[in-house]
Amino acid sequence: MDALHGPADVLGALDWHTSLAMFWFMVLLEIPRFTFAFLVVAGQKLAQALRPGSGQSMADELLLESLKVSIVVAGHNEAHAMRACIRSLREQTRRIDEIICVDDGSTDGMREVLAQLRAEGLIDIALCNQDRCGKVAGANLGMMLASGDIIVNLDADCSYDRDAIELLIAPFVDPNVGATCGSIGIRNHTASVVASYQAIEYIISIGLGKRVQEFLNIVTCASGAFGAFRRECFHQIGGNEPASGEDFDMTMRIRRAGWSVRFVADAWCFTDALPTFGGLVRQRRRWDRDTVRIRLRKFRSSFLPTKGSWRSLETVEQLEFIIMTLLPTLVFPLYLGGMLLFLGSGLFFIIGAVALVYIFLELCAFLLAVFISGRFPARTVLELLPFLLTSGLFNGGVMRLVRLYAYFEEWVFRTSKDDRYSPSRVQRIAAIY
Amino acid sequence: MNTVLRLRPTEKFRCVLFPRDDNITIPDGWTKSGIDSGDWPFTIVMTTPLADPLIDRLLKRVNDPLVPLISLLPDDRDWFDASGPGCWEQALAITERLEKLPEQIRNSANPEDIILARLHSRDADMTASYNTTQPGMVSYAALGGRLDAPAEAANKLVQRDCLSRSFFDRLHICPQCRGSALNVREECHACRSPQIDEQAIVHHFRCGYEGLEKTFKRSDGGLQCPQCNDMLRHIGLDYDKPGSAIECQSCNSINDTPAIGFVCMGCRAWHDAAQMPVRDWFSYKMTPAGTRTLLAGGVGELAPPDRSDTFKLILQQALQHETAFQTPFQVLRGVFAGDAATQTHNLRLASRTEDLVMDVLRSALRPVDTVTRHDNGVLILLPHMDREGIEPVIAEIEQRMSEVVRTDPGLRLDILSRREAEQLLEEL
Repeated sequence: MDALHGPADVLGALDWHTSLAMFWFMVLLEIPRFTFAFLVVAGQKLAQALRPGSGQSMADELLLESLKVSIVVAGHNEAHAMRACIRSLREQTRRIDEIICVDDGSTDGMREVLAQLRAEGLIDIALCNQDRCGKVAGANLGMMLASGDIIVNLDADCSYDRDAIELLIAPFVDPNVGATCGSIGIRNHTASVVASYQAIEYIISIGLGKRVQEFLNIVTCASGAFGAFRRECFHQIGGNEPASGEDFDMTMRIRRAGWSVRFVADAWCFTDALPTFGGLVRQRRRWDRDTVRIRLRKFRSSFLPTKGSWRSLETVEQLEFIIMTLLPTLVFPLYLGGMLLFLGSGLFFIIGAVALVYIFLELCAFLLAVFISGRFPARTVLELLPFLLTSGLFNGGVMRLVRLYAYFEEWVFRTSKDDRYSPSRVQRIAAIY
Repeated sequence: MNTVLRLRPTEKFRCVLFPRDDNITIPDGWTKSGIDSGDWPFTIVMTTPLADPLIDRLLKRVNDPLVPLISLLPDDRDWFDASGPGCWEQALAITERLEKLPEQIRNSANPEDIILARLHSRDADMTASYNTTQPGMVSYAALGGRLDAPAEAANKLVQRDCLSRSFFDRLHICPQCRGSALNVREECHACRSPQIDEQAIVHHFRCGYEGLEKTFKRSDGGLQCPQCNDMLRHIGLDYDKPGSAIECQSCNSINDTPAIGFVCMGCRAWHDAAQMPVRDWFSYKMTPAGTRTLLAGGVGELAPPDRSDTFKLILQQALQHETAFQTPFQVLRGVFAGDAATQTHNLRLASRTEDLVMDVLRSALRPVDTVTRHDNGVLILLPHMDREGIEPVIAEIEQRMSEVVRTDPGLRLDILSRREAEQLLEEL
């Protein structure tokens, strides 16, 4: 190692079996994930190019046109964002039959904003909880009262492409589709380095990850920020259940109820990423705790074929999570520790070499995702390119350690029961797994 | 009829009894006359209560708004200058004061002269009072119902300092018929039906269901959640009621608050609360200047001073100064071009916003600058300012507007050239 002067020399000097011994983590757990995503997305693009005219039939269009669409926007202290959100909805190419807004105990004048929007005819129904009951209860109130055939659940701090709703509801021509979700992009990627990392992460995970899930018919989460639900399906599963991660939880229940969940890649919603590292860590800890609680506790029956509710596709989806997410997270510190034990200070060369591979993979994934989505202007891509040098390490290293910690605290301490996502009086009683 | 009158011994005051009743004895000093006799002044004496339309027809026939009208029987309607015991004495006092008025006032058809003459002759203030028989719901007893739009004329007299005024009340008026006989009611936002009910919203903690109380089944011991069938027994522990919703019994629409609607009792028109204009009513008192104007012959045909005249005068002066002394000035014309939605859906908000804009303009400009409303916008005159100096002023105005005015009125400011300023002067 002494003769080597840098990570690039390390990569060049190793034979294949030494490389495998050094980089087994990447070779076994990272590269297959990227490769599979590349193959699926490239295959889809190729198929699309070969069959350009496979659009909707006239009957499909008539059916879609006849569907009544209700939109529900529930929020707490979203007065500042509400008008912009509603305006972007009123610009939609698809007719929106009903907009319901729920103010969940806001103290920032959101109720007055809603009253004003209603007076201007921009929304149809405004509802108000005097006391905060949580996002779940607010969304349930609006969605239960919605009269549309399709109920679209949105976040107030998001804005939407003009054709977002039209595209989002298109899969509902298939009567088996219970829910759809669209792509979510970051609009404040220049706010901070952390926001840029998140923008890159969203582009790759939406552009590749979600497309792969759609290909395998295992879409895991119809986001609460941008998801559409068939009314019949929503009422069948009983709406959102309390506690955070309700969108992920509901998606799992929808699939288990026999409905299909579809991802519409071309329907775009944009939101602001958290600009600070602390905020990002808190958010991801909450998401990852929810993942453990919902996947490994609430829906652990996916792993038990003897259970009556067992469905092979759900087990495939859970295995995909275990192999692609849980396992790399658990193994990552072991890999780092082992390398430190065997290589001592040479570890830093290996980490450097790993970083080079990460940069290469991230760059390929990023460019492919940008190309596939066709949604990001060249300026955005150029602004994000410098951050690709470190985003791989950040997302693959730092955030993986955050995830590991979140898994640990949830698995050992069940920390999610103390989340402040809902008010304490609700959190205390709500059925938490 | 036992009133003691202080009549001048040599004069006979004329009165017209209506309906004519020869059995009624009139006090000494009075003589009976006819409406068409041409004698002036005379007093109309009601011998029996008559319906309003009849009195109205009678007064139209008399066609003299200053003629006193009294009723021998007690009657508190605005028509009468006096009624019941003592009415002859009051009629006499009014007649004496009328006689002292200049000839041109007695013959004037100008509402402002009539107001001054009536207030002076009746020795009364123009005090506003509620009157449900009037479309505007307010009347002035001192005017005896003789003028169609007394408040407008009185406000012109206030501008001339002939009257002073004090606030009485603010009433909504129907945009269609201008009446204030309105029924204010709570309505459904969707169909505007007043048939609405308020219901509690119930939130079940355990399953997260939140809905109207009526969706929960009532059974022994409490409510049953429609989603999970759990019993809700203990408020605060099992569930709470975080709010309420208004449900329409006509169209089943639900909202958090009812809409407010107005139905005009006069023309039956329905209006949204946000569209309802308001009108301020005042009580008025004659000032010494009013008395002087009256005794000097009244206001005549002169128009009251207009605020835009001030602007016109200053603009005229600025143009002359620029010609004579090369002192530059700038004129800005602002037009409220914006937010049609606000203007259509909430006229009052639009009006308040424009008031706020005026405040912002005054705060952003120098004390020597002049701002006035003009058509659908504003005019701003900035003396001693060249073309280079105006751009920072516009930037400052736009900056203040963005900070203070939350509802964008779409004010667009244009700098007028000298030629345009001259054209503006002609328009004014």
